[in-house]
Amino acid sequence: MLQKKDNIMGFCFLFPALILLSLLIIYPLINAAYLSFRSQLIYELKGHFIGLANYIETLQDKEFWNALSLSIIWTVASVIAQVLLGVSAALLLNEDFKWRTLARALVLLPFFMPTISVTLMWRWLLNENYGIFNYILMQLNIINNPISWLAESRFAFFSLICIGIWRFSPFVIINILARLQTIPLELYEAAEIDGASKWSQFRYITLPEIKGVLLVVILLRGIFMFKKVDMFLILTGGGPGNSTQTLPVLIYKSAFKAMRLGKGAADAMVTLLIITIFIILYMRITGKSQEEVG
Amino acid sequence: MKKFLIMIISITLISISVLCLQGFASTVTITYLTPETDPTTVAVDNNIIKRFEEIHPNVKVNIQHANLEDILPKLAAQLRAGTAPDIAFFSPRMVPGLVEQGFLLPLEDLFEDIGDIPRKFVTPSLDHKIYDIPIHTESQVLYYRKDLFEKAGIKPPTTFDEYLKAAEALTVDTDGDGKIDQYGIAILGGMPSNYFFFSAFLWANGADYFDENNNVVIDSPEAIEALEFYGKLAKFAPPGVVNAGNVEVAVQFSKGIVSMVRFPGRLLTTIDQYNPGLASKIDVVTTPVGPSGNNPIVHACVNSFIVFSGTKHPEIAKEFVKFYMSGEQYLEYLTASVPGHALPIRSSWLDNPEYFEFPGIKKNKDIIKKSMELAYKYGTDFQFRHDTVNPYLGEALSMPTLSTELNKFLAGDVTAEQAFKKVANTWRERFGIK
Repeated sequence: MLQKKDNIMGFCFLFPALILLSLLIIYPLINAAYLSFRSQLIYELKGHFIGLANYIETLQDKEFWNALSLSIIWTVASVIAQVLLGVSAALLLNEDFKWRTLARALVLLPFFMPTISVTLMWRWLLNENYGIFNYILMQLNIINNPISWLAESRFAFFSLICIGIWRFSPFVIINILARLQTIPLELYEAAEIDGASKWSQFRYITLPEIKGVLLVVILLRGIFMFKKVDMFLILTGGGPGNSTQTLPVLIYKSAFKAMRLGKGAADAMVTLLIITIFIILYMRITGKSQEEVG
Repeated sequence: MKKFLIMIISITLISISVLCLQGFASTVTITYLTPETDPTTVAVDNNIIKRFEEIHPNVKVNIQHANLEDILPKLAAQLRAGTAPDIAFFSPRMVPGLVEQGFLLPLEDLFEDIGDIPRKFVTPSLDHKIYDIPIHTESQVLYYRKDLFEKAGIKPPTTFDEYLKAAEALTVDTDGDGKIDQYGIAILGGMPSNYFFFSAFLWANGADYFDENNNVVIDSPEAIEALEFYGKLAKFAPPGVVNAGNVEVAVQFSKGIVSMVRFPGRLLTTIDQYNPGLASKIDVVTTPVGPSGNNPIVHACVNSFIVFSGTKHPEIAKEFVKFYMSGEQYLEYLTASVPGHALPIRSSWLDNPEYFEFPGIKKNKDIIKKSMELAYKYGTDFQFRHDTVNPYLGEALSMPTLSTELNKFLAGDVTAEQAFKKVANTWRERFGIK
């Protein structure tokens, strides 16, 4: 009886959040699914039902597969680099040294700057005519002529990955640093007494301790990076050509530039399916490895 | 009993008074949606609204803003929600689509009332009614450096051939360090605006996106020729064409990095900001004619007022538009934000001394007057290319395909033919037309 009362009470407390969740996530999701089976321009009040035509068009569209491959490369490359850089930086920032507080603040700064400021700043830094990057590289005689970092296909995607790593590594740093600070120092003292090297300490103490947080961070970074659209739109617009047109950029263009809400919704639904499969696989793999460790 | 009666009568009298006052004070509210979000234009709009409200004390005008690229999605959401504004400042390319859906109010009476807007700047409609009132035109002319042309001994170009030769002749290493520091031309290759910049080249070569029967003709030999020429011209532009936007090309010309640029009057404000001394060294001409073209072209981009059919106050909405486009209001709109960019579309203003004596206009009077005259004489825009209504145009130009293929071509990833064949096939398939 008491438990039932507790359950009802719990539900009452959750109810406002559930309403908000429904309005902001569940309703738009259902609406998008509905739209994906219709042909509807953005300014039309009602479209018309066309069945699976949007999905067939999406799956037959070379642009979609190109965008998917770019999204996967972007996500995998930037997340791996963010994790490697983030863990390394967290380990360094966990050490005691002078100006540590200032160092932590500076390292975390890119994450907290507004996206629009950051992307416009990079756009000018990398500008082929006025950008300081080219100026410095030419002064150091590393290059003879300015490089169009955002205007040449071979450099644009690479530049975006580097900017993504710079901007989002602090997220990894914050989370790993927080976990590192809860690891009992006695473990390291005992390991030192036993003659363990720094690498052994990292491998057998630090890594297992941060593994849980690391797996969550990797998942979150993967999801957040996969759906990133603002940086791409501001820096390159998906260009040159479609060399930086990832899936979110394609979805945005389908729905709001080409004005085809139905097609954009179908692209989004397929993307959702791909991300869901990735999350399920990831949870299964990481769940198994957690069990093995247990 | 007596006290009770007095109380009842007093309450009744007070209630009647309040109701009467409410009736007299009932306010009509209209909403105006605009993409003009720069601070000076916002201030202008607020001033105009204030003056309108002073003349019409029972009317309140609520102003809404949306980024230029977001105005259509915002409007679409409002139409769906039944909260569409009464009036909007809008690109006429989307007007046929909105008319087809029944969203717009015919405005013949307002057009007649204003009286001096050339009919050729009004968007054609299937029922031959007027659904938009043009506010201004932007004259995209070819700005060039008179001094550099004189120094190189060449005349301003009138044909594609002369254009290319001029661009080549003016791409020089001025300080002898082996690196080019003065380029012939600035080209806007960045998405999504690149097609807008390119369109005048297409038209100047006698080509187009659609023909008068609404068939796709972007893959015609003349269109491909225009794009190939564009690619040759881009070789004499500063590096980074593929990512260059409006700001980059305007700054390149203003800082003397390039000798020519096709741009609207906004360039004069950029010159004023970066290099005021340059103003006396520039002049304007039309876009040169291509080998397959016949007439000079000026891309006279028009923006319009539209009134929505769902408005509860159509007469007040029209009154606001008429007020905005007359007298000191129109002068303030044309001069306050970016003088010389939004040019008067009312023919009675072509020689308006008040306009030309405005300080921001006066210092560039000759260029602005010439730009206006060229726009009136040779001006064309997407929706005016033929006398027919094109229901596909708005969507076709909004689709990313055109700007993406232009971008790929400028990046060297595809040939001109491949680029335009791709665009043509995409449009034909999308609209189910030839």
